[in-house]
Amino acid sequence: MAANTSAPRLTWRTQQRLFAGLLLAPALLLVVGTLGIPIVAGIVTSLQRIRINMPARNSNFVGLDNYQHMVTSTDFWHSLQVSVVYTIGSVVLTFVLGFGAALLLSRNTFITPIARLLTLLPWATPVVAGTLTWSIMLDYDSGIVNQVLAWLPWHISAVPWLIDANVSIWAVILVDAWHTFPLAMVLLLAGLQGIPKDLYESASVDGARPVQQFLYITLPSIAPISNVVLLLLAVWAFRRFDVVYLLTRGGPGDSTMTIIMQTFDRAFRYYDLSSSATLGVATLLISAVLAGVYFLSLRRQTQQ
Amino acid sequence: MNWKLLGSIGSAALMAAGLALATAPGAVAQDKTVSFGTWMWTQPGSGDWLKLAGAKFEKDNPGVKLDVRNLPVNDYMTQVVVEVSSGNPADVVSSAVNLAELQGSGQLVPLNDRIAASGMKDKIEDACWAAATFDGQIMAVPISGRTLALLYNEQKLKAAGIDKPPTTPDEFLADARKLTIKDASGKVTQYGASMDHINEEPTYEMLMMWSIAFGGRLTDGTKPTVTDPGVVKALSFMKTLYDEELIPRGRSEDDQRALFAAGTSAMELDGPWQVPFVAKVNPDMVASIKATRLPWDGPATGGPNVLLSLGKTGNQDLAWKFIEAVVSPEVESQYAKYADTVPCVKGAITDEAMQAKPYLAAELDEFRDNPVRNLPAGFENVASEFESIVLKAVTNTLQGGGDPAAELQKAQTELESTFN
Amino acid sequence: MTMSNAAAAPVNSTAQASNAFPYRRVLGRIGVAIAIVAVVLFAVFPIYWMIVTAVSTLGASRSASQSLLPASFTLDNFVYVFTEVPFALWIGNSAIVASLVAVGATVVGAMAGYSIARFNYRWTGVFMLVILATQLMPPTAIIIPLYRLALATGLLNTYTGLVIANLTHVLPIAIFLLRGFFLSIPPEIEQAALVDGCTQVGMLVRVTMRMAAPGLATVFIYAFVVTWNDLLFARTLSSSGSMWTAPVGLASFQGEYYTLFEPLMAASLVFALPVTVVFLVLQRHFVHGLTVGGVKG
Repeated sequence: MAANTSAPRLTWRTQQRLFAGLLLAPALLLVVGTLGIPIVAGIVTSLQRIRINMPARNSNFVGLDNYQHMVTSTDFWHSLQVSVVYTIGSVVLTFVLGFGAALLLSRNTFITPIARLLTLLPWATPVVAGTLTWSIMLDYDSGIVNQVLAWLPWHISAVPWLIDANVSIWAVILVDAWHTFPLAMVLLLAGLQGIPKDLYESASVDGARPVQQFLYITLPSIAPISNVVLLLLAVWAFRRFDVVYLLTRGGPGDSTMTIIMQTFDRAFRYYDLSSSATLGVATLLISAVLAGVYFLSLRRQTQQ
Repeated sequence: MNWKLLGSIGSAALMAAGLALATAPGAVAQDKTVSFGTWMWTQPGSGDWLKLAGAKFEKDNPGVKLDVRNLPVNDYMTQVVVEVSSGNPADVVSSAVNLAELQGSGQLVPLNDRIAASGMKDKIEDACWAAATFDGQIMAVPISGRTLALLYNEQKLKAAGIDKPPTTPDEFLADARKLTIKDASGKVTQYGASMDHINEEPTYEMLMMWSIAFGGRLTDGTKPTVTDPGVVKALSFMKTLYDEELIPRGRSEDDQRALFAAGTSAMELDGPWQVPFVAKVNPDMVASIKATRLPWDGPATGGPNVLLSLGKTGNQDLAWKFIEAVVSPEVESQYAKYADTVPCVKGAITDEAMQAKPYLAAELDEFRDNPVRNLPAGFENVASEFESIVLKAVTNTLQGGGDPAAELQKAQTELESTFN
Repeated sequence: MTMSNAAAAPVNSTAQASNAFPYRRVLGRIGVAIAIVAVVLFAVFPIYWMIVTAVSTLGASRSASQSLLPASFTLDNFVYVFTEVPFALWIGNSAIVASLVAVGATVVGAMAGYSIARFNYRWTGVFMLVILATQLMPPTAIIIPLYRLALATGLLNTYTGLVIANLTHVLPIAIFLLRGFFLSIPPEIEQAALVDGCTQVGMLVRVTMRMAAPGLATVFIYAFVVTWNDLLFARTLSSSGSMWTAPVGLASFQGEYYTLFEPLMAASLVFALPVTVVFLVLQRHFVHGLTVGGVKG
């Protein structure tokens, strides 16, 4: 074994630890250095009062005042609710679309390569371009979507996609899903294609119907990658800013004011940096707890 | 365990990183630069005019380059906050109505002495200076201003049997009703009018305007007065327009502009920049777009919308020269040829320019009649927060179906408790 | 895996077909075909609409009457993009930054992902959580401190600054993805290579990375596309127009009073082209790598 020729002072175990650590070091340095510092700065700011337009009221330390203020404000809870609805809706829609597309495109027929390529396009399209296109398409008066709906045999009346408080959140979820589902599809496709064909063959020989094959072979095999995809989708959906910003800016009213959008508004519309930082830290804590729970439950699953 | 290989990989990586850092293009350190933050540089019209000023500045000051930091307007405003809060403003900072909120940051330099020395004071309208002065300190040089006028589609008015545009709010409402056309299924195919009413700043100005029309004000200069009967009447008026679907509901200001330009709405309270826009996107219709005074007996809202300040960067002397170039007679005389807003420099609009752009007349008249500044008087430095509370009342009334008086009372209470 | 079936005879779908018309199979096939068309239409229609808008005359996108086929045809918008704006500069900047980030993310991400996958020490789990946690802070809340950091380290308005910011943004997901891929590669293969006389690094490069090639390609594509599309960092960390990337340039088509959508769509298509090309090239590798070789039993 190669280890026998290494320097005698270090045991194999220590060597391996060093190797592991070295591999990890660049990533650790980058992430902690570049993201860690701003995050710490954000935490510090949340303990101060910094309002650019009212410097007389600024203060270097106000303790947990900002947090108290935030927790007692209806705005915070409302936008948290909007964020939760948005995240769940987006994850479900994106996953269903991605998984469905992956299933449909997992066989190698003659149209599959083209279909795969075309289905990947939404993700490659710059978000600014795609979202603005959707905003024209979903326009109440002049949008093509409403026009097509009117042509259909069911004569669906025009939907106030982006201008009605009850509908707008679903419109934003739709556009978000459109941008993201190709990536989910790619990952799930990789998982699907990694399932050995013999499993299906032997199951067919044993008499299993396609539905049973799906339930007992496909789903379990794809569970690991699905978990990854679901977690990623949730993180991305929760952090989503540009789609909401470009489509509705948080409106109509407050119906699409996610926490992320509110963080932006507080800082750049109301010049209130400390309140924005407070929201940011709160978001960080909440999602860290949720992700931690999810991750731990995953750990328990794989250990079984 | 091949340490040598690992070591060589590691050192190669370090060298590459060092090289990258060393050779990466940093902020080009020229002998002399003046950084200029703006959102207008690539805009057709005013952008071209600014470029004239830039050219003159560089010609008069050889060896100095103007480093233009241009971003689209919303991004620019965001970036200004980033720069100002990090203590890194540009040498020359452009601002609009947010000057009041920016100047409190301490990153802008008072200009009283420079203005006195240059003799600029008399060359610029007093109303413009008022907007740039805070506690006696002049924090910016106003470049241009704007008010709004009543824009209407003459053809559509004639088709509805209206031979002259409305001059009172009642006439406006009646005309809007006549001009709104619905199809068989009840969907509106032509809106009688336009009205900003969603949760954005133009809605505040819209409420201000209609309040003026009904004789009310949102503040009295020291305290909020949003329960003033004039304001309540104005919000009720807006509610009528909304409920009867005489205006495109739920649409942003930009969208409503686009609808007017496409011929989907017939009247609009907006500025003269609409006319070149219509000329671009709907050239067949532009001949019937006319502008006239606002439909009420009283002032309009408006004020300076482009102001230039000096950032606290240590480069003020050189940066000042750029501002001087902008307001120089050479450059100002070209203003009307390019831009569609009102220049703050006196006499910059010549008669021949007026001939070429007849739609400017209405706006100029409004501007000369001392428009009310489109900011809450007495609360300029917390304008966004003040406005957002009022906007809540508006959206609760319109989209939420609430009662105007009740919602305004709620807003008044919240305003009083927030700003005491 | 044994599946006993009470209906004695082994049900083989091809055997069935020889007797009756395979309604089920044909319907199934048609159903799948329709579903595929629906999905593709959903994905592609907005892009088609972008093209329609890009070749329309100004204002067509907002007119009250819309049709599926372009009502007018003009190349003026593209002419505008090619002559009036420095699109080559913007694309060039995007290409440089995106390529550097993609390479960096693949290399650094692979190293870290492998470390976490193979060496399951307790602190690797904590590290994963920490890395994930950094993703959970809203980007809008950290741009001001990030700007300050860039200002303090002199990396404002530099390629290096943009690369570092985007790399850091992309790394957590890259590491997560690659960890998953490495976990799916059985250690026996690596042990076999070591037994055969490879050094640890050699084994990594020659055996492991080869098998993880699809994962590496995925991370490369992901990092490239995300960086190409990034607007927030590109706008915040640049202070002069010469450092603008494509999305910032695209945003500049939005005016103060109104936005001309037709030239904006034309510019979008121009800027989306390089990304699509990179996509095309790598996508074939990716699909190929999945079906060839692999772990059979």
